[in-house]
Amino acid sequence: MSDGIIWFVLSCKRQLKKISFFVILFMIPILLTAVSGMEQAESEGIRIALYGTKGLGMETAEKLESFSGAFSFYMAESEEQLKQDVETGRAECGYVFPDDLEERMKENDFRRCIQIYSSPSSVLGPLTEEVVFSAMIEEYSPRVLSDYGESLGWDTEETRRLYEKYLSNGSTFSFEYESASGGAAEENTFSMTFPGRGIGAVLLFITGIFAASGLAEDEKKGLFLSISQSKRWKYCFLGILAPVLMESAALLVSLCMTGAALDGACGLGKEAAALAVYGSAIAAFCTALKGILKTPEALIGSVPFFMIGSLALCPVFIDAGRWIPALDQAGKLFLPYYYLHFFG
Amino acid sequence: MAAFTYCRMEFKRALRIFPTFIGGAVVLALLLGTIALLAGKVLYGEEALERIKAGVVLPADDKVAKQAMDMLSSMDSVESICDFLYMDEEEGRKRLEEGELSVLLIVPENFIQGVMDGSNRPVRVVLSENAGIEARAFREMADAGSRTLSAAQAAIYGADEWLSVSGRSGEIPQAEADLNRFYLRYALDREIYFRERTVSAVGDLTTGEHFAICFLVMFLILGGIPLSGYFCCGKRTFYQKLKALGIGEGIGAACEILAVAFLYGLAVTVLTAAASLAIPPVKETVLRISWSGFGGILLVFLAAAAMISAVYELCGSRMSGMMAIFLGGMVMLFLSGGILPSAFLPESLRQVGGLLPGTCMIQGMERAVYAQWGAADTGRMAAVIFVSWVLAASGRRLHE
Repeated sequence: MSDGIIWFVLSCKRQLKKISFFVILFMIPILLTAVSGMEQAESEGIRIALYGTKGLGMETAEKLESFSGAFSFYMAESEEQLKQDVETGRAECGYVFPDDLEERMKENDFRRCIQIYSSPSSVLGPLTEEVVFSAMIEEYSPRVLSDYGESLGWDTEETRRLYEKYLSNGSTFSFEYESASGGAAEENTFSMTFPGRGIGAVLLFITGIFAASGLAEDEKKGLFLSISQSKRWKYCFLGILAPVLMESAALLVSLCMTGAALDGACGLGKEAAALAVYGSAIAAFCTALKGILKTPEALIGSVPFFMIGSLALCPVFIDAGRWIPALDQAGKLFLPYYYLHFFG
Repeated sequence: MAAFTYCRMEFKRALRIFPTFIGGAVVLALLLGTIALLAGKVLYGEEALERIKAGVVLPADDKVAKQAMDMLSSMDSVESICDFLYMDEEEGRKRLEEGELSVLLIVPENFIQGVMDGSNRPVRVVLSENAGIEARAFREMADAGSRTLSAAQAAIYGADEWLSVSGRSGEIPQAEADLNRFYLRYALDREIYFRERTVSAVGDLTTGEHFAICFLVMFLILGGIPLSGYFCCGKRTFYQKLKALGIGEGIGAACEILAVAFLYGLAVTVLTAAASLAIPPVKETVLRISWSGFGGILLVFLAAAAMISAVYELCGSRMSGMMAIFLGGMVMLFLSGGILPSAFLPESLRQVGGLLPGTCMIQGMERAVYAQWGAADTGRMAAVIFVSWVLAASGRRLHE
């Protein structure tokens, strides 16, 4: 037991001797906190550009600007500026309303009348179409009522007033959102925060493989010559565990500083325990992998597979397994899957 | 002459690790091919895409509400994205908490009567604490749908009240039928209002092509990790002897960068040739690249090689270098819009991302492959290469 502890401590010291390792451990929480802090300072939604100069088009654009939710609509100064914003990624997409939108609606000539500009990286186009349409029909609806009433001799001013009354008094259909814990649901957002927990989990995983490769090199140089074959796995396990646990500590600090960690002393304990178990699982997996692949070159060569596999198949950025079950099954081959699913 | 000989030696040293590097790249390509195949089966119809699972809690014995929900769930637009599962509230909340459901809809008592008589009690939508992206998309669509329906309802209720107050109640059924017909005509097929056009600074580029380029740049940056065996091998005395021969840190770093860029060029050539055999559009794309485009691609490889050399030389150890490349690379690609579209990022992060080498590399590669490589792109890549070379040389000096 004491041999194991000594070996573990020496392995930690060996890593910390390289000042760059210590600096990077120190930088992990600072970098993640800086990125997270900048994200939280601005909570606007996904930007959608609009352009309309008069009539129904401009009124629709002004209505959209007042919406709160996952999208943040703003008026561009010109169609050219709108296109530039979409090209440069400042806006997800842009809508240009024609000046004669209302006339075209009346004459049923509304096919393909609203121009959408999107870029190769735009992904939310169909969803924004629904939102834009709903705003447009909300603006146009009283005109439909007025035109119909006028043809039958109604008091169109009064019907307009009644339309506004029913639209705003809560008597029409609506959804009421609440969170599972019972309070009101948070404001909807698509903004993606940097996935510190996911990236940290993958970093720990490949650190383990890297450490295993380093130990394979040491083995070639004769580090384990004085240790019997049956005990080598133990020292290998501890040698891999050392850098992984040190990085886990840095990740735990990062999660606390960015507010991504569970709340309270209990939550902190759960985070620490989960990282300890995850780190141990990585060390065990990489010890076994070293036993199978044997050479440092093969271990290093396996890093792209495990790294990209973890990034793509584990819920680091998105959980693709929720839509494609086969990918969910494939994700189970990678250790970060289990750690990330533990936290939902 | 000594520098040229040293450069040749660096190339030979790099070639020794090429088999491991390309082996890892081939295994990775097989993994990505499998993912693409599975995703393609789903996207192109052989298997069903998992839809949003929405739990529905109906009032007891309300057959009218059940019929209405059955009708709603059978509509093409709803059926394509949602599976409605009927259950009681307790079971629904439990399954929502466990992640089996994306949303839980709780329909109030006398729901249909409420729509018809104007009382309209809201449908409660319960979302989990960490609502996934599909739940957020559902919420936006639901809000848009309720706004559209409310606009029609407000007009009909307004007409009903005016006709009642004016003593023309007999005209109400006709007015309701007429107004319903008008609103359905406008609202039934909403896609036809829109005319889409893609704009891009690099010409006609599809979303798939854009993210393929982003993946290639990610490969170049993160490829520095399996290349770690090439770096941090020299001992202090070795560098001192090189200096005595006139090969200082600058020349040494430059030879290292050229060797790594050569490895990248070789690996990408092998993988592209293999991909061209399996995927004809890849071959067509490659054959369309101009000579200036090929020059631009080489500059991008040099920029990636230079950045990786700088990281390893400054860190002085493979473990630290690997950590720095992975973390720094992921943050840089995230801020450059190489992983998620930059429109998803707050303005300040998007502006920071625009200044990073990752953004220059993605845009440069897109122009080289799909449009025209220009002098501005050459200038940007040259700046990245120069700064990285200076840092790599400084790192060498630091650790001598």
